[in-house]
Amino acid sequence: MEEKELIQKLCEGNEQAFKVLYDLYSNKVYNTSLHFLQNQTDAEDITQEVFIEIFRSIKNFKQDSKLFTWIYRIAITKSFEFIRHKNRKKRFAFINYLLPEHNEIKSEDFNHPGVEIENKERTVILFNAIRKLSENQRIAFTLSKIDGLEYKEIADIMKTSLSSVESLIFRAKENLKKLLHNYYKENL
Amino acid sequence: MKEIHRNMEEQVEETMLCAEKIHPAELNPFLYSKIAGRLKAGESIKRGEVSKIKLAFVVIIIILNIITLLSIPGKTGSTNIASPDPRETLAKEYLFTNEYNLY
Repeated sequence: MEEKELIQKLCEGNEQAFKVLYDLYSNKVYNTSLHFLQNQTDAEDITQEVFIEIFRSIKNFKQDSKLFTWIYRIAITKSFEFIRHKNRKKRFAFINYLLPEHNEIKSEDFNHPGVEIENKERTVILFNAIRKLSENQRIAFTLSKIDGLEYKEIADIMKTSLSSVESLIFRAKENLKKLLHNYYKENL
Repeated sequence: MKEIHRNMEEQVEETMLCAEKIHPAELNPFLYSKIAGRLKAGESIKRGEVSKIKLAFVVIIIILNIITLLSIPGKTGSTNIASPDPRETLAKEYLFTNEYNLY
């Protein structure tokens, strides 16, 4: 099924077309969300939200970009909305301490299920460092180095120029090196 | 010292390389049925809407409480208690001290 045909059927509310779309993109959406959210349950929830959003707003898709780009944009937007919401919750977490049974909200180390055992420890350190990057640097670096997308694809997703993506990735790498350097300085 | 620095650089480089060695994680095979279920249910009330309704409810309760608190003095018909005139008080004190001055 070609992309245009698929979009047409999705607009008509065809359930089979939706299943085709899900089979094509669900793993990508889940993994991208997982890399940003660093939590499997949250990534599953966001994947659900993304596909429901696709189903609801496919009629508004203008087709001036690829379907894949549009889906990635929704996934990234939803992921960062979730992160911001979680951070807001953390800011007011002190209220929980006033209550007798407080639920502690803390950033935990993320053990990615797709990492080989010998790289587990280092990947945890890397993910902790990535969390400290600015939003744009984090998106560009994650899409490029972890998701393996090309710079052109990232530029389309982020609605920016190729040179901006290059610059973002360069700065992300530099900042990560600094963060990791500081980490190993204290922990070696 | 140089040895430690070199070791640290190696650790940083190896950690950076880990980003490219991450394999895709497997997605829950039952997720599609969950999504399909939600779509069939119509999703009349989204999660965000629920929290907005909750917030609106709390705001309404707070406003009602404020209105009730402000309307209490008016309903009971209580009048303002005027503070005593300081000049009057001083005059009374003066009289008292003069009338009962034993010295």
